[in-house]
Amino acid sequence: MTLKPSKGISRRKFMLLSACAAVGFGTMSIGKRFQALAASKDIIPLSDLGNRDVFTTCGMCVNKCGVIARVRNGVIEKLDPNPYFLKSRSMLCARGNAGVDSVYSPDRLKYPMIRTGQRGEGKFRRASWDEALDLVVKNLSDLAEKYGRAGTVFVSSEEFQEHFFTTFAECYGSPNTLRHPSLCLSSNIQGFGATFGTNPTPDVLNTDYIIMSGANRSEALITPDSIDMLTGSGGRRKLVYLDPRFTKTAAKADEWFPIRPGTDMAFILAMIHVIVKENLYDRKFVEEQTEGFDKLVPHIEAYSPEWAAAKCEIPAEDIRRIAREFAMAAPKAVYYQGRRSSFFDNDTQMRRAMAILNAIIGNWDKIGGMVPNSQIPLEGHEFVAPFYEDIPERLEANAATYLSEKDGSWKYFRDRVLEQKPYPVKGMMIYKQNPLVSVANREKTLKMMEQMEFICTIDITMNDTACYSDVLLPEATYLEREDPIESLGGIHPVLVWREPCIKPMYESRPNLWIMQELAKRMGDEMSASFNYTMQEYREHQVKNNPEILKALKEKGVYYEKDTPTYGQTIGKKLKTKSGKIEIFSQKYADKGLDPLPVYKHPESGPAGQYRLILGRTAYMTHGTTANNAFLFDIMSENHIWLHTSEAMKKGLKDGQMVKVKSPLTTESLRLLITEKIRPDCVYLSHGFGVLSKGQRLIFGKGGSDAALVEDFVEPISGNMAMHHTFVEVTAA
Amino acid sequence: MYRNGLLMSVLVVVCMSVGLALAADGGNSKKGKYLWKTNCKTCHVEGGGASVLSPSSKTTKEWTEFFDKNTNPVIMEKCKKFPEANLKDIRTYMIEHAKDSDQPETCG
Repeated sequence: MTLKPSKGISRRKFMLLSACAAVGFGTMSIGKRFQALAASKDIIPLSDLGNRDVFTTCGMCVNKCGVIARVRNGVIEKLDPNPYFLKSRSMLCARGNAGVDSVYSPDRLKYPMIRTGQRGEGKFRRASWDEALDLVVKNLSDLAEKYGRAGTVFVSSEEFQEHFFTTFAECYGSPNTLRHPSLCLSSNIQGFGATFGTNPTPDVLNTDYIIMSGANRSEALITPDSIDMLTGSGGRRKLVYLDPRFTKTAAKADEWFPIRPGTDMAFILAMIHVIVKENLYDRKFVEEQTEGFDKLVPHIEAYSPEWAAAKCEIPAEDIRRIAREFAMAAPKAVYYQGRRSSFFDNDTQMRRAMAILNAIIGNWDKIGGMVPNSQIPLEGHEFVAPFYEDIPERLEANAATYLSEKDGSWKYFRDRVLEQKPYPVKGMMIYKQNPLVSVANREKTLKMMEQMEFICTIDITMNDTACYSDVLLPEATYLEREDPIESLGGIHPVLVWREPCIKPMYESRPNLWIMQELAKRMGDEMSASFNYTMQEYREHQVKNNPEILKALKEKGVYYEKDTPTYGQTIGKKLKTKSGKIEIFSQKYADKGLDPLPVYKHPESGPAGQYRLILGRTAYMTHGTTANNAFLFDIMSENHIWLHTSEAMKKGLKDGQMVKVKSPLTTESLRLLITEKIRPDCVYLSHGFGVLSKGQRLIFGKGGSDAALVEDFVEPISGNMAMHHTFVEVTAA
Repeated sequence: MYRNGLLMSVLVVVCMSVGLALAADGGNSKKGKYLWKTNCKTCHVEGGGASVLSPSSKTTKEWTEFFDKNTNPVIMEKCKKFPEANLKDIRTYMIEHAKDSDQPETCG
């Protein structure tokens, strides 16, 4: 189905209709809402348009929303939302709409390239695929001979074809795969996982009371939460929002508190204090489903609202009131854990506090509460990687308490590369990750890359990391690729895939083809793990239910039901050691960690300096979209935010250039004077201040947070902790 | 590439035995994964003739008991085909990837 312009319904109106479906259609299921839209004649079948319209999946951020590509005369003219795609409530955001530019940008990588100048100079020559692939394989073989197979790290990030890259790494024999989670959710997952055995999803649509701290959902978009946050069930919704900035989420909230950065745990512990002391917790649930509540009671004795108020600067009476309201709304109340990296080095324990607060009000696996993720199973790709006897452990083994064996920790890994201990890592294969923009302390990343003897990057654009590489292999964009079926777990589990809207432009190739060609050159044993076509791969994924392919062709998405399933884990053992929700963590105690979250107050900055806080805009995805022409029109540089009172003290004017100096470096940025930030903080959005002249729109625009931010770490998960840096701001 | 004619022979249903008082840790998990996939997994899949099994099918405690206290004579017989060190590798792999293991979920 698609929009029918002749009916006069605007795109905006349709998006609004979809976004507000829960209000407009009351308690109807999503499927019924679509049927109602179809009956109203506002949407018509795709086939009626008489043109090529392709159901596929957005690749502009992690949400993977359903998309219909409008292809006219061989050109992708427009991207529209897929009305069947319930996870995004039929929405497509600004980034999703701008995705066409990822195909047609003049700055994309068009051909295989081999470096001719110094690293970072941006001087490359065009090469044939054969020459480039041969060169990569020669270097991988030489590196294995010289340093062992662990001497090459495979760096990647989430993507439908990432599996082929990590398969290649495993078959090559390197234990060192370095993925994005240690710049993302690893502490969040660790804290909730230690408590619930999994990281659940808040049922935002159906909850009556939601507290968000450090989760700017109106700008850092997550579907369906960003949409559901504004709808709610029956108008009973209350949103309490804690953030040092008045963001767009603050503007939509019922209450906003400009919390002192790094003190969220004080607020949460005080809420637990009130709920326990006033017997507002769910006694039956706690007795039956949790472990260690008896140890929590004395633990929170000292964490009164008055104590917390002095830490987090939220009045004690408000903390007490919010705690009572929260408990009264239970189980349809959630303390929303967000989806972001660590801000402070106590992030795992802060997440534990969030999880415990949710647990004691009994919102687990209930409507409007914290719901464990569901997933539609797919048949996995089984392969047997060769076993090599002499492979050591991961380079940063045992650096973090709970290190993911496949994801690793960027902070610890990079430090050990620079120390060259316990062994040297001299080769770097990179797929769809841009560490020079995404990893704090850019200078260290540059040093890490400088000491590499070989770097190959597979990407679609000349980003900073590509610019510092030796060989560039151009991947086809998400709109040109046929991708595997992906199972998106959550409250609304769905299956999606990608269909090529046009043939890959220039000499770009899908990653599967690239991995197959490299594996072929590495030898028969490696090649055996890639001996299939994409079609065969997909058919294998759904061999137990081939109807899925038909559904994907017809609707671009497959789901088994359009309403959440609750209570699947009730009465069953959870994936914790005790099988219950672990308020007290014996496994943490056994590792010498605090078994209950203990508050640690953040350090104060030097006089006259500001804490640098980071965040997102709705127009940008990490470091990948700033050079998109459509999005550049919306946001062409990042500004440093400074409170009006501080700017007046310094005699600074709005819009002037200032120097922002951290212990690492100084960046020049344009100043935004605003009341929307605490006077003790400055804010900088992500993705600008790039090094690569190959990103012609944004080169020379704005400043780099990765250059300014120091690389502190959350030691339990190994996650980067991003809010420990203080900066000076002076006139340029 | 690891070569071992013995290991490439029989597909073992469950490759553990009674009285294999293996240390709790110490095996090579990566080697255990390879041995599991080449000797056990082939049957422990849908249509493979044995029950569908993966490391996450059991908890740490269940795998530990399975390896260390198993009295099933069929299993004992199968496990005779493996050197003790290889059983230890498989045991380590299964326990380290159990349902409640310390390996965190990932974000995709």
